[in-house]
Amino acid sequence: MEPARSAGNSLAPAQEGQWETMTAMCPGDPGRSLDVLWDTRLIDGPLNLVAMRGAFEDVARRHEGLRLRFRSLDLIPTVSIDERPSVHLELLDLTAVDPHRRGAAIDELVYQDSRRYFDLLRGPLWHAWLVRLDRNRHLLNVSFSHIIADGWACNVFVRDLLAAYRARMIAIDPFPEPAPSFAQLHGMQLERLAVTTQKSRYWQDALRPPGGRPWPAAPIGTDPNPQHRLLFAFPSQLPREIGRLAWVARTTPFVVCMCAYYLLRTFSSQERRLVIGTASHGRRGLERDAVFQSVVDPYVSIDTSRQDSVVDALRIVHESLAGAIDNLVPYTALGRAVNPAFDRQRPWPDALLCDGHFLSSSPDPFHSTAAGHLPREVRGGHVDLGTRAGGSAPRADRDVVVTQVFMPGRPRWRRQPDAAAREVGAPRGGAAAVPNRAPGIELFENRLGGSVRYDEGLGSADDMRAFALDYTRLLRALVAQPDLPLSGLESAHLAAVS
Amino acid sequence: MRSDIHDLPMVIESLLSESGAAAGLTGDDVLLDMSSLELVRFLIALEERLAVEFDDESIMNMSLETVQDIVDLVEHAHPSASEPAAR
Repeated sequence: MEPARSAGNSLAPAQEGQWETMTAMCPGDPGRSLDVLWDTRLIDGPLNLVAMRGAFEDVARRHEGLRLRFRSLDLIPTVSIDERPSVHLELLDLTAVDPHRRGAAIDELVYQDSRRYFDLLRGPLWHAWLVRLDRNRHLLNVSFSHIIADGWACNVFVRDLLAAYRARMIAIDPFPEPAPSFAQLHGMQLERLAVTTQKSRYWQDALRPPGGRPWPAAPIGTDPNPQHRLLFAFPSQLPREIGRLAWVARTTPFVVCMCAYYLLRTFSSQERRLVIGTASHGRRGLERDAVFQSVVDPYVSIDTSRQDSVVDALRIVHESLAGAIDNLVPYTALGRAVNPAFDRQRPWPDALLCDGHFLSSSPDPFHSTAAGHLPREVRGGHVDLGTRAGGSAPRADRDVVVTQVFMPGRPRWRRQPDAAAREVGAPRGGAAAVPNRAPGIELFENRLGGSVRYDEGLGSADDMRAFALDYTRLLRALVAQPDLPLSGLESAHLAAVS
Repeated sequence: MRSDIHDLPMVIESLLSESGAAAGLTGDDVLLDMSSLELVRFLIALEERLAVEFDDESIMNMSLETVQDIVDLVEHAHPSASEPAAR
C-alpha cells in the first residue's frame, strides 16, 4: 500500500450526505453500496497508448480526490491522501471480435463498471477501461466511487486527461496551475456551507415532519436510488415556450419544469405542501477545477394555495429553491437541525425527507448522433496537436476527437447493494420505511426532455409512460395559461387525464 | 433609460460584487461564474438598476456567459415603464 501523506482527515462537508447514504445501504462496508458514477467516451484518431497511460498518472497526481482512501469506515470516518498516484487502467482489445459480439461485450463491461466495488480502505476509488475497437477508435470508460466524484467531476477528469495527453504528445507542461488540494476543497466547502443558527431554523421549518410526529429511523440496507428510468422527449415547441414563461415569471426553465412536477404531484395527492429533493454542485472558482464530490442536496419545501396563479406558483417554487440553496449546510448539520434523534438513529440518510426527486443532470440521448451500436454524441472534445509553444509543425494527423457516448439498452440504473451487505444491514426493528414513494424526474441538461426514475413497486413502464404524458400535458397547460388560478388548472388537468 | 447605461461595465461589476457572484477573466472578457438562479437574480437587479426590461426573445436567444454578453443584452433592452430602483 502506498504511503499516505496525511492521516486523520475528516470527510469534506459535501461528502457527508453521500457517506450517510452509502453507510445506510451497507453499514459494514459502505463500498459495497456500489454507488458509482461512470463516464463513457469514444476516442477517434490514432491514440498513443503510452502517452495516454502517462496522462492518467498525470491526472491522478494532479487531483488529490483521486488519491483519497479511507482509514476507517465508521459513521464519522477518517480519510487520507496517498502521496503517489495509483492508476487502475485496464486495456482490452476487441479488434478481432465481430461487431455484434463486440457490442454485447461493451454493454457488459460498462454495466459491470457501473456497479464496480471499490475497496474504500485500499483505494484507488476510481478505475478506467480503455477498449480498442479498431486501429483509430477506442472506448474509454471511467468509473468513480460517488464519494470522490460527482457529474461535474467526470467532465473535469476527462478535460484534464485530454490536456495531459496533449501535453505528453507535444512535450509541454499540461497544468500550469495546480488543482486545489483536499484541504483547500475542504475549506472552500466549509465556507460555502457554513452552519448558522438562522440556517438551522430554516431547515427545522422547511423539513418539519408530517403531522408533527418525530422522524422515524431511516431504512437500512435498501438502495434509495430508483432502479429504472423511462426516457421522454418534449414536443418540439415546448422547450421554447417553457423558456419564455420562465422569463415572464423571472425564473429559470428548470423552475418551470420543477413547478409542473410539484403541481402534478399535488393534484394527485391533494397535499399542498410537498418537499422535493434536488441537487446542487454549487461549485465556485477553484472548486470548478477539481475532481471531487461537491454536490449537496437542497430540499425544496413548496406550499401553494388554490387561489395562486401559475405565475404565482412559479415564483413560490423559485423562492423555495433559492431559499434552500442559500441555506445549504453539511448533511450532518441538517440532520441534527431537523431530527433531534439524528445521532441516535444514524445512519439516517435523506430517504424520509423528500416526497419526490426532481433533478437535472443527464445528457440527452435523443438529440445526438447515432452511429452503429455505440455513439450518440452528447458532448465532445478535440485534442489538437497542431499547435505548440516554440512552433513545431502542425500535427493534425495525430489529433484525436473525443465524444461522450450514451449506451443505449444498457441497464444503467440496475444497481443493487451487495447481497451479503444487505444482510448485514437488515432493517432494524420497526424502522423500515419505503423510500421513493413517487416517481422522480431527471431533466436532460438541454431541457428538451428527461426521464422518469422509478422502482417497480411504483408501477409498470406503461404507468410511467402515462406519468410522463401527464407531466408534459401539465407543462403545456402552464405555458398556455400562466394567469390561470391553480384551482382552474387542477380542474382542467383532472378532466384531461380522466 | 438611465444614464447608468453609459457606465454599464461599472454597473455590472458593482452588481456582481453585491450579489457575491464570482467572475473570472477569459481573454479580453469576463466570464460570469454563477448558477442559472443567480443569473436570473442578477438580470432582475440589472433591469431595476438601469430601468430597462429584457425581452424574452433576447433572453432565450443569447448566450449569457460573459460580461460582454450582458452588455449586448442591455443593448437589446426596452425602457421600463416603472421607476428605476435607488442605488
